[in-house]
Amino acid sequence: MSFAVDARGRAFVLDQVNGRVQIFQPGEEPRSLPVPGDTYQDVALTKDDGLVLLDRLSKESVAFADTRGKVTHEIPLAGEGVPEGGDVTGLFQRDDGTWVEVKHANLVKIADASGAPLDDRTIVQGRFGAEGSVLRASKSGDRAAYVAEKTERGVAPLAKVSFDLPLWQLLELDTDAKGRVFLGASLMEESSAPPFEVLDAREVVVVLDRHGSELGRLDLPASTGPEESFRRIRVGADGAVYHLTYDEQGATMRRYVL
Amino acid sequence: MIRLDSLLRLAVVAAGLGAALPALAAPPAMTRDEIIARGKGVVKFSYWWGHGRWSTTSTAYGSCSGSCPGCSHSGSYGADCSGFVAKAWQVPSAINVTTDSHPYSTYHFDNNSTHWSTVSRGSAKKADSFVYNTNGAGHIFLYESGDPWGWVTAIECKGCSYGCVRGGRSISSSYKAIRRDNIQDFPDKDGDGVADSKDNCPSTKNTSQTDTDKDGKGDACDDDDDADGVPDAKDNCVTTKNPTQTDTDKDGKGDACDTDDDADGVLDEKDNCVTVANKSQLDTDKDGKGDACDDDDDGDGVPDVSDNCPLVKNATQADADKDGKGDACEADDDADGVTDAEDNCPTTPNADQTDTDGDGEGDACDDDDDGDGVLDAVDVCPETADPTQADTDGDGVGDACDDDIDGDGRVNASDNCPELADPRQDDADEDGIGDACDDDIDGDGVFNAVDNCPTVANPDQKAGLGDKGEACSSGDTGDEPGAGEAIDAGCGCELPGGARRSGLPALALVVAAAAFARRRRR
Repeated sequence: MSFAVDARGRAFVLDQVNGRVQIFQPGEEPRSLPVPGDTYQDVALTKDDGLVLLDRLSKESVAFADTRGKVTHEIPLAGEGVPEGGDVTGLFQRDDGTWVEVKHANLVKIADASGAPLDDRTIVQGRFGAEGSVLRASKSGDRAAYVAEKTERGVAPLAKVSFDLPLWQLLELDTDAKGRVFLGASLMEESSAPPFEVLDAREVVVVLDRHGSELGRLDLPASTGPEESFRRIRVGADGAVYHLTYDEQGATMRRYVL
Repeated sequence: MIRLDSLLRLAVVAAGLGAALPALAAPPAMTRDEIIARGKGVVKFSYWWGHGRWSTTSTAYGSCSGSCPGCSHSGSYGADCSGFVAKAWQVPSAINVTTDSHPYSTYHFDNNSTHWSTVSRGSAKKADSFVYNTNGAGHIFLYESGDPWGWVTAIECKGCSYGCVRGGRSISSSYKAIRRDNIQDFPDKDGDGVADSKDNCPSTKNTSQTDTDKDGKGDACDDDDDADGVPDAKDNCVTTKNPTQTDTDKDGKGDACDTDDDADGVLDEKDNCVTVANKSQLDTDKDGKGDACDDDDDGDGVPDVSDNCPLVKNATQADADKDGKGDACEADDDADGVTDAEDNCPTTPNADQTDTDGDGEGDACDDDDDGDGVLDAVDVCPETADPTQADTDGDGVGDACDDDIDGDGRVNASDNCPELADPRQDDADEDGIGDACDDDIDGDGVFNAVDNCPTVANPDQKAGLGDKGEACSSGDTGDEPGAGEAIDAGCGCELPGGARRSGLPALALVVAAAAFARRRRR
C-alpha cells in the first residue's frame, strides 16, 4: 500500500489488493479509479492528474495511466542503475521525468517528461533536496540516523538525529517548498530475552531546517497488523505531513498541518 | 492455517522403519550463503499453495490464479511461503529442491522451535527468516540483507499474483525473527567482509582482495605486489612487473608503468619515438617513425648522414649546382619539402604543414598554435584550445590534452578516478567509481562522511565498538560480516491508537478511511 498527494492536497491511496486507487479530499466523498492489477506497490502523479504505478516485483515495470486509470503504456525498470525491479524503493514523478530510487541510495531517471523510456539513464546519489542538493538518510547504530547532503562542494552530514527508542526502519525523507527536511522513522523496542516481545513502538517525523537544525518532532501512531506498506508518510509541498496507518479494521489517512 | 498431514506421514514412515524421527535430528550444516543461494533459485517460480518444489534447470515456472486457499495452480513447480523457506533451510532434513514437500506451515514456524529458534529482531542475519501467524493467516520470508533505512532484501513466495520474488521490503511489527539450527558462521578477523578462510589478507582489511601478481597474498599485505623482486617501497612500478627498473626520463616512474617514457608530452601509445623526446612528432616520410629517431627522415633510402636533401626524398641525390644541397631541396629555404611559395612557414621546417588553428600560419612558426590566446611557450595544451589552462596533476600537460589528467599512470579512459590520482585503482564496491573519488566507497548506500564503516558494506549501520560499526569493529562476534548483515533492534505490536506527544503544533485531520481486504498466506 502506498499513496501520493497532489498540490491541491488530494490523497491518492493505492489499494492494490482491491485493484483501485482511492482519491480523498476533505469534505468530499472519496472517488475510486480501477487499476489493472494487484501487484502495484507505489503510485505517483503526473502534472495532468495521470497515474504512474510501480510494479517492481511481478512485471518489474512502471505503468502510466490516464485520469480514468487506463494504462497507456509501460516501461521496464531493470537496466542501467536498476539491477532488479525488486531493488526499487521509491517512485518519483518530477517535471523532468520519472525517477525510481534503488535501495534507498540512488535515484535513477528511467523516463523523460513524456513517459518515454531512457536508454541513457541519469543516476543521482540521493533524493532531491533544496537548491540542487541531494540528500541521503541512513541508520547510525541503534538509536540514531544521519541525514547527509551532497552539494557541488561535496558530501557533509546535515544532521544526526537521535531517538529515545531503537530505530527500526526509516520511512521517509522529503523536503517541502521552504526547504525544510522531513525524516520519518519507525521506532520499536523489544525485550532483551526470548520471546522478544514488543515493549514500545511508534512512528515519528523529525523536521529540520535547511541547515539541519531540528525544528520539532511529530509523534505518530504505528500501524498494527502484518500488512506490508511501501510508503506510509508523505510531505505535501506546503509542509503538511500525510500519514497512513492500518489495523484490523482498515486504513486511516491523517493529515498534519505544521 | 495448521497443516500437519505431511509431518505426520514422515513420522509414521520413520516409526515403521524403527529409525529416529526426522524431526529430532538436526538439519544438515549449512552456511548462510548456501541457504541464500538455494533460496534464490525459487525466484520467478509460481506461488503454489501447500507445495514446495522448484527446478534449477527448467523455466517452466507454472502459474497461479484466484485467491488462495481457493486458488488454482498449473504446472509442476512452485511453492508457498512456508514450503519455500522449509526447502531453502533444508528442514527438517536435506531434500532436493525438485522434490515436492511441505513439512511446515507458518503456524509451525511461528510456534515450534524444533529446528529453529526465535532471535531478537535486531540481531537477525542473512538466511534468518521473519514469520507471523495470527488468526489463521500468516507469512514467512527469507532475509537476505539490509539497506541503509533498515529495510530488508527478502526472498519470498509472496502470493498468487506475485509468485516467488526477491526484493526490498519493510517489516511490520507482527513479524518475529527466527534462526535455523546448525548454521555455520565463519570468522573474519579483519572485518572486511571476507571470511578468513578465503581472505588473501586475513589480518589486513582488503575488501577488494586485489592480488596483482596472483601469488595468493593480497596487495594490501604483500611487500612486492607485482612479484618482480623489487620491494614496493623501492619499486618505481608497484603493480607492474619491471625488474630492470628502467626509467628513461628519470621521472621516478618506471617505463613499464609510465605512459610517457621520454617525457615529451606525447603518450607512448601515440609517440612515434617512445624513448626519444620529440614533442613535435615530426615524421617527414610518414613511416611511423619520428625524425628524431629515424635514420632516414625522408625515406629515400639514403641515410640522413649522407643525404644532400635529408628531408626531401631524392634517391638520385641529383645536385646540379654541386653546392652540396640536392636539387630537390633547392627552392625550399627551410628544406622541409614544401616550396616556399606554398609553405605556411617558409623559414621553419614543417613538412606536415600542420596549422591547428587554421590561421594560415603553420604551427611550427605560430606562437599560438591552437589560437586560444595563450602563447605556446606557456600553453599547457599548445595544440588544443583551452583558455582555462587547467592542469590537475601539474605535469605541464593541460587537462584538455592530457590522456592521464590526474597523472596516476592510468589513461583517463580506463581510470576509475580520472581527475584524482589513484594508481592502485581500488574500487571496493566495484561500481566503476574508484574509492579515491567515490562518495560511497563500500556501495552500501551510506555516504562515507556518515558511514560508521566506510570501507565495509554495512547498510544497516549497526553499532560496534566506539564510533565504529559492528561490521568493522575489532573483537566483534566473529561472524562473517558479509553473511551476517544484521538489522537493527526494535519491533512492536501493541500500539497507541492516536497521535502522541508532539514537539510541533499539529492538527490531526482524519481525511478518510480506506477499507482493504487482507489475504491469507501460508
